[in-house]
Amino acid sequence: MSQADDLAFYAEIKPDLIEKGLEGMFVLIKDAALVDVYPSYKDAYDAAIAQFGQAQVTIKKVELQEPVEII
Amino acid sequence: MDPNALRHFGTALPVAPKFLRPSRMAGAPRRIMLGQGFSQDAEEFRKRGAMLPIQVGIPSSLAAQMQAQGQTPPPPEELTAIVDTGASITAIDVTVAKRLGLPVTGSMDIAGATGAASQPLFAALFRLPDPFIEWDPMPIAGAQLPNAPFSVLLGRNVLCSMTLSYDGKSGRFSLVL
Repeated sequence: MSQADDLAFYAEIKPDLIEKGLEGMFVLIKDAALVDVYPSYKDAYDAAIAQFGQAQVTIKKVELQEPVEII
Repeated sequence: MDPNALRHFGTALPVAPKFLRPSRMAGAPRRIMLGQGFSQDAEEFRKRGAMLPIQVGIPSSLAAQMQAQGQTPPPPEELTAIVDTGASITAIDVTVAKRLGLPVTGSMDIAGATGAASQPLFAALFRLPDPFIEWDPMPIAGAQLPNAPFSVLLGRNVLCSMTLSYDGKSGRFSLVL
């Protein structure tokens, strides 16, 4: 599974996450499956390390509109 | 200054959801005076911009995990950052991020002067070494910064918790946290 698979999975579950009022929270995704939802990026990252070590994971902030950052 | 000013500042403004509270710092609030010792004139300052030394490395939780497995985690590396009020998010040169071994935790759409593109999002330990202020982990966007005299853009997701003073006439700037 790649990070692209994780992001595709996130796109599928995003409407449900929004509907459940989880906007602003951070989801941890591993192998295109939802692991859990956390209040902060740090919580999600530390949980990923604790559970999966150095394995590839995806952390995504739940946002109704996907932001475009500017640099 | 009210010791709780930072807390109030971080939660009262419209930018509060993007506010990145430092993980550790040597007392708050801190006055970070940077650029004071530059032996450069205003013209050189105009050309260089407001640069400061920072340290970036893998998150401490990852470093601890590596140590537990008998691996030697790479130490944080000193880099040069430029204060960039035009950047909505802090960003690091992708080549440097890969050299440091920063883990990728996602991607995000980044728009810049040369167009928009999806860039990796790295998890990093991010420090202002003097005085000591640390974010661990901080999500940092990837960017293409080849041949630049800096490898990090200190963007508004960090600057929104600080007061920036830019004195172009005397070639100085300061950040106050």
